[in-house]
Amino acid sequence: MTKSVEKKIADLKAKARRVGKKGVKPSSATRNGSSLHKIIKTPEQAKAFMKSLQTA
Amino acid sequence: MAVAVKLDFDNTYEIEPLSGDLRVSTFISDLEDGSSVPLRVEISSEPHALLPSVFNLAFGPTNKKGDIDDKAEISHKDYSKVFSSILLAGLTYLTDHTDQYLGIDGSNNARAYLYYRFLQRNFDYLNQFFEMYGLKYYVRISRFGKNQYDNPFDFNDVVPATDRIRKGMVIRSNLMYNYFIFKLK
Repeated sequence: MTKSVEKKIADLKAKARRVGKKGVKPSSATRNGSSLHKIIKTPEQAKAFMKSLQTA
Repeated sequence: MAVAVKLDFDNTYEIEPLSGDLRVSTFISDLEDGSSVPLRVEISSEPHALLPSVFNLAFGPTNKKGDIDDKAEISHKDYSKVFSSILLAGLTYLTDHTDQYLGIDGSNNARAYLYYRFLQRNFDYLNQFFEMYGLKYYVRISRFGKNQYDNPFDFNDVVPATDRIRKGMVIRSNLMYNYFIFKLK
């Protein structure tokens, strides 16, 4: 990672700290709207997904 | 939408965090018609109930309810800057959550194919920062019916399969990944 990108990340984190706990929360659509949420519904599917992700 | 996107985290819009945990942020994108629109980047606050380390990342303009409209069709002036800004927001979040994965849905096949083109075109750059994966869902064929109208597919039996995205992998648009996953390297 270049120094300039490291600085951009650090600057963004500093801005976020200034927002603190009074900020907004992600919408429920972001939480539940993905294809992953719609399709992976059983523990077996979740296990298969994590296995395929970790071995990919 | 432009394909010749060059991702560069040194060339982004000014990102403004809207939450202290970097799960919600915004930036103003200039549009081709000379106007501008605020775009929101959101990382879900709760993981999938069965996948505790996978969080959804969504982006786009917000609708009247304040939800991201990821199907909105907007002509941005600088797609490179837009997507660099979105991914920089994700990268910044991941530097504080190194054990987590961020997933991005292709809201339709054309858009998913475009995202994949972006990843491939910028593979060397992104590969410095992220492990990148593509997810497909496979539906079981139960058995063929006795007549041509019987549906042989069991949509309650779907198997996920993930590939590590590698440089130069060619995938036809109609076989494109459904979901793209990023983890900090």
